[in-house]
Amino acid sequence: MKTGNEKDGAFVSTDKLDRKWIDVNIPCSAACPAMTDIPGYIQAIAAGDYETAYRINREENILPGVLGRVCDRPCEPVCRHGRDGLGEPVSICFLKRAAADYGMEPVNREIRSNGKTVCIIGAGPAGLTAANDLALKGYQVTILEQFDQPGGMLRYGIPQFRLPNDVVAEDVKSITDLGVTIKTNFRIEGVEEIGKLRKKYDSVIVAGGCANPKQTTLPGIDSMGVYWGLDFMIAANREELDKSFENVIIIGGGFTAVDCTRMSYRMGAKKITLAYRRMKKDMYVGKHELEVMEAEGIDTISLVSAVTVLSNNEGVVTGVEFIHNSINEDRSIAPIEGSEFTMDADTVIFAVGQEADEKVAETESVKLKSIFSIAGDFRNGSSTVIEAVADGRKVAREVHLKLSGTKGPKETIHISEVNDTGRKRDYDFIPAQPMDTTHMRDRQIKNREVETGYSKEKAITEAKRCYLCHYNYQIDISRCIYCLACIDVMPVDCIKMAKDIEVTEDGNLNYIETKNWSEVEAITIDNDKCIRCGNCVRACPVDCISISKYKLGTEEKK
Amino acid sequence: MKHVIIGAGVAGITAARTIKELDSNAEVVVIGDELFLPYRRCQLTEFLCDSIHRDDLLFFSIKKLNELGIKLRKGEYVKSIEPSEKVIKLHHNEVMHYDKLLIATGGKPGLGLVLRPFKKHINFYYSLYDTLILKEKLPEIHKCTVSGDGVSCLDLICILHNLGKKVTYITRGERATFGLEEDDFEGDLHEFLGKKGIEIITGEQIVSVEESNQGYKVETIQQKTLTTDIVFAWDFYKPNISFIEGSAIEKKLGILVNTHLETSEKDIYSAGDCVEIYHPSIKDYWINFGLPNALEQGRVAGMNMSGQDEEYKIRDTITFNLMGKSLKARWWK
Amino acid sequence: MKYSEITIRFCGIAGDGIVASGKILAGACANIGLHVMVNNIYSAEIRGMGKSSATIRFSTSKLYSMGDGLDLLVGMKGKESIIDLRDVKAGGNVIYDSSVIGDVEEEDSLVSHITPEIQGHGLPIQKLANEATGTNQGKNLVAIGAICYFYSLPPEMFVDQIKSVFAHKGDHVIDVNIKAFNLGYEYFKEHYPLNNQFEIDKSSEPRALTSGNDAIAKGALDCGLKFFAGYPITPATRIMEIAAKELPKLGGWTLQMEDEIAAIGAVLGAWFAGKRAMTATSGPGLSLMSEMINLSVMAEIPTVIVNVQRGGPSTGLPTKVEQGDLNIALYGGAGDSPRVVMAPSNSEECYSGIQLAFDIAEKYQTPVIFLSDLFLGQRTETVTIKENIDRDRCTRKKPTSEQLENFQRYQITDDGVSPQIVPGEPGAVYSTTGLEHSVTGNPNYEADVHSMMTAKRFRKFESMVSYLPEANILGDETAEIGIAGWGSTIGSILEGMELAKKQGIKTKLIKSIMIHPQHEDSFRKFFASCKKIIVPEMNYQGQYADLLKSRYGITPIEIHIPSVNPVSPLKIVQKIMEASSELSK
Repeated sequence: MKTGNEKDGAFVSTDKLDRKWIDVNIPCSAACPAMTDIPGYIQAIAAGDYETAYRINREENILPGVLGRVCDRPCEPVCRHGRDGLGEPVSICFLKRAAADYGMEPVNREIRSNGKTVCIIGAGPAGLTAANDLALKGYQVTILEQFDQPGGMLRYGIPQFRLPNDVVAEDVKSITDLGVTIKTNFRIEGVEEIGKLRKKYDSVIVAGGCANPKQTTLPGIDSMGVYWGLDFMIAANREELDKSFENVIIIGGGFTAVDCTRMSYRMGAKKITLAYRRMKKDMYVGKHELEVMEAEGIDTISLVSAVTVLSNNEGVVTGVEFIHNSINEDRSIAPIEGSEFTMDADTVIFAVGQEADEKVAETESVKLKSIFSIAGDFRNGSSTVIEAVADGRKVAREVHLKLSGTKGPKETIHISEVNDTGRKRDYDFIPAQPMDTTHMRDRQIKNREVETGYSKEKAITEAKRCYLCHYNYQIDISRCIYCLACIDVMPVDCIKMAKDIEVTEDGNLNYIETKNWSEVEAITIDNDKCIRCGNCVRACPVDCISISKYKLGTEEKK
Repeated sequence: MKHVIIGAGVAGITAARTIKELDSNAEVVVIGDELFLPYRRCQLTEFLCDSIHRDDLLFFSIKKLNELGIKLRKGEYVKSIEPSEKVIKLHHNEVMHYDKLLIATGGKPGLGLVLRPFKKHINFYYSLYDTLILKEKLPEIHKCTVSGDGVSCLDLICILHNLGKKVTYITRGERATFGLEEDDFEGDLHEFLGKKGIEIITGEQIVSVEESNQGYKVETIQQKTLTTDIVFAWDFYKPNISFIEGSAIEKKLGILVNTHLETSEKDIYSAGDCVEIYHPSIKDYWINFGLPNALEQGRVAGMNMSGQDEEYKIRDTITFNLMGKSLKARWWK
Repeated sequence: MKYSEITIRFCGIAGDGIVASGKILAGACANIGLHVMVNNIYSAEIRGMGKSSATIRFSTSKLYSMGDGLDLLVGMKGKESIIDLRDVKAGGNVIYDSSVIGDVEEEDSLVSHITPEIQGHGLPIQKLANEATGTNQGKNLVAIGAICYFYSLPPEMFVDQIKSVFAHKGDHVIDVNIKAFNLGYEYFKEHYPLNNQFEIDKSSEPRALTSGNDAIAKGALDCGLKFFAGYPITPATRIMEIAAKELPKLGGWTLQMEDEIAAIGAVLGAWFAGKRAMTATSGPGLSLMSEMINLSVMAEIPTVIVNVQRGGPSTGLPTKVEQGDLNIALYGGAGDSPRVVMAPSNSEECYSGIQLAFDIAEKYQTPVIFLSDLFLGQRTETVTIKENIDRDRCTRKKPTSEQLENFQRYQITDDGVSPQIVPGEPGAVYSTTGLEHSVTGNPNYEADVHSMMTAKRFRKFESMVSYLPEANILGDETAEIGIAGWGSTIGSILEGMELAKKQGIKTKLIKSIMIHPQHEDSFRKFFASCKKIIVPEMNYQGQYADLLKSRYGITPIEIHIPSVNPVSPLKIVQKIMEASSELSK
């Protein structure tokens, strides 16, 4: 049916129910803080089109090379393919990396300067993202970075065996190629200095990150051989550590803590123990990261808290005294009296979190939006790279709205009908492709990247696994003959017999299920359970099941 | 009152018997994942070397089950638990309601990231299945490579040696300790084994196992290669409790229980190798293993499930006979 | 465990491919020279409703019955298979579908009813079928793949069978079915690696598979059947189907009539015209044919009526076996109306027996009622049948040229058989009637004529005996326990005797395809040498026992098993043991 709402053959909708369909039915995109079009880029890889896959990532999450290695992947746990009985989730992050490895190309856009200038403090992911977005809109952007290389935590906090420096450099270059200037070794401190910048530039964004390790006070914390996690990582990355490590204890449960254990392994430690005060399942890192760590011989003890750092007469650390914890009903932990025990160590690392540098600006009294905006970890506390990227984008949008006076973007949904998704049912049974890794015997080489990336063939094989949830399968009730052939062939419980259809308050259709064939009014596909296998389409004798593709787009509001 | 017991090992069956003896009208269902009737794991080695028959392994016969009115389901496993609805779901999507639930699934060996890809070529020595498979292969194997920790690893090495096989043991540490405490053994374990003729390779780790035309080829992290007829390896021995993921039942490595063997969820109990009880006298959470402990925990759990009030008391160490010398052990690390 | 014989049952809903599973498994086993017997149980309702099951028994030695109990139950649909669990032997196994979509309550689950003496094995049948074929088809092959691994059978035997069964459906169908088979095989190999052994003799020749109905149809076609008239009725319809397909190729015809009376009428008409003709029916149909059979007796026109017995009376149990039609076959005619009654006991006897039936009918100008039963008729079994093809066979007593001159259709002879012509024979007048008649065929009601004609008609039955095959005596001739039976029950008796022998008890059996007339001396001699006689049969009254009692004056131990399932050999063994222990007192 042709209406005025068409563009490139697709029907363009602004109905909020269609928008909601995307959230519910494309769970990976919805879980991504940057709302990346994941099925879109995976479909491109399956067709061998790495450039399009790269471009989608570059536009939507800005740092494909980096994120393809260190993103914490909120998309994978919600992937349909990982549901009960269906196998493993699609290795979305590994595929992003493949897109970056094989499809990287310079951004090809014509940018017309709008004469306005913006200054961003901090060349970490939030700052880089904000710079990218504003530069594309024609702003003249300058980033002031305190360290001698851009990247922030990417460069200094994350070890090279997870994220090599040149990968960071490439992603940064893709942004500086848009005309963004980065000035390194440039530290800004104090609200006054920011005020000065504000006079020079049309807008200032502070994206200083959380690079200050949280400090705990424990007796013995100043002993020699005790480090704060982030400091340890930064020093190790900058080759500034020269002592020998034999017996290391790391206290903490986040990515930094795990990175410290693995860095210790590479620095030659023979016995490495990670001690966490809550339970393993409460740790921020995922099961896979813990397994990789254990493969390197690192032990974990849980439900233990450090009480005292023990040292000898020269003030050199000799060990840690711990106490066991128990978990109360409200999930809070409490130490168990009298359960102290000691573990030996020559190095102790506390990786218990990071916070923003107060010297840069007092974040509390700082909703002084008239002077500057804040973005990323600096605003929200330490989080993940992808969240920082999403936040940088958000702040860039706010700045642009203020400076340009436009009404901002609105979301549109492009719906186009297709005959076929291009996938074969066989693809659903392809097992998850494991990542190629450096051989165990070479793991101790400090800067050797452990994951070496998918080959092109492996990436295509893995990409074929994606169900491509941006396809919507619908039964046309007016043509359905209730033969139940589709229900006969469904691989999961995805097609229901409904005896009534209610329209809910928010306009949704609620199907009331029945198992009794004589009560059936409609046969309906439960889009949440649907794995887009196409069995129903093939089985339908009257061809009443349609397939349409949903894609999110943005338009400037007029 | 319907009691559902997940795990048909010694702890689970003892709990079932205890419940039935206290209340013969109670409905008791035991679900086990092995295809065999309940057997005594500690006698597997005797069965392996033919000192006892297969029937002697039986811990509970069908006759006894029928007499007591216990329903046993073999070869099935639980997929998930929903404590708020008091329901468990079995692997084939069968939904079972319970009034009281006991988790006694024990533990089993597993492989870490490095060895998992070679699972097909690696043998465990833990269940009756493993023993039957090993028994079949025994006549053709001469060289064995073993890597792992714990008393069962020691047990395996000794029996292989006693059956005349050439054994090589690989460990990451500097000495072969098998994860046991120093004073559990009279004398030095490493030396003792070495004198018996068992080859011990220290500071090493297996990184790959491939088939070769005469058995298997094992590669280590220091790039040594060994040829062998059979490889036994496990990276850890973990409680079999993956099905409680996503539920609110508290656990560390094993399920956390108090001295009444109650878990953090109402009407759910746990006993046996899959459990961790904090014990003040050793100031640690511990998984305790061994037949006498399983029997006692099963009994205590059964009593508590039937409404009695019984506390579990820590037991003495169990003494094993290791090729003539005694070995004391109580728990796994 | 090592096996030389296995019984497997597939259970599911009509439409699950249950019967096909049986076919593939049976075909594969027969092809490698194993002995096979298959019994299907169909639901009376249409697709999607009602339960269906196929039981396949295969062995390295000859099979006579379906044996007792199952070694393996394959439950495609859980709930419907629960009732079959009681047939699984202790130490037996169950394969269930572990990938059923949707939750199942405990009481509806097949798995929850499995007791510890048997072992359940989960196999994701639906999921693997879906993976192989993209639809629900192929479930049976997934299960067969698992069975193949479970008993260490050679996979090639099934792959070859798949290729031949699906040859007409094209390469793609063959490929996805082989894939389904392999998926089932690999799943069991991975999850249940400790499997069983089944010994196979690699040098065996393939065996032919057939059913009782098919054997009857083929036997008739091979000995000159030219005309078939019938009315569809379970379980005899298959015979008509084959006749409809094959007769035209041989220059014959098949007519579906408006009812059984018309059918037998048409058969009489064909025989009247001198052509070999046959009808096939079951209990209700045979009842309708009574009067026409009387015409056949009185007018001395041959007829061959195949009766495949089923549960009765009336519409009864259309899909269940019973042996309840003996009385009507023997005594179902008004007046002094003798007829030949035969009962084969296996498919080989179906083939050779129906040919004998035609010969008897034609030679002695009499109706022959050929009693098969649903189990014998529909089961598939491996057979060794030597084909005997003689399509111009004619056993009619022809007249000499003198007898032709003043032709007497009902000439009185010593053996009671009058020379026969076909109407239209030049130089002779053919006259026949259902009224009592004189030697020329003209109606005649005189007392002495009636006595003479009746005596003549009965005399045929005495002279016939020397033409008939002798009774067989099997087993140990010194045994004091004797068994007499008929039809498919013979198979169960034979296996029961084997089981008793293993326990050290000697028995012997007298069997004959002829129920009436019989070689009575042989029977008398047999019974005289027995101290105990057991007569098992599948009906409530003991119809064969009644015949034997009245004919031979014996007092047998009777086993009456009315309907539904074929007789279990164990039942027979039980009675043998009882008889034996009474004897030893």
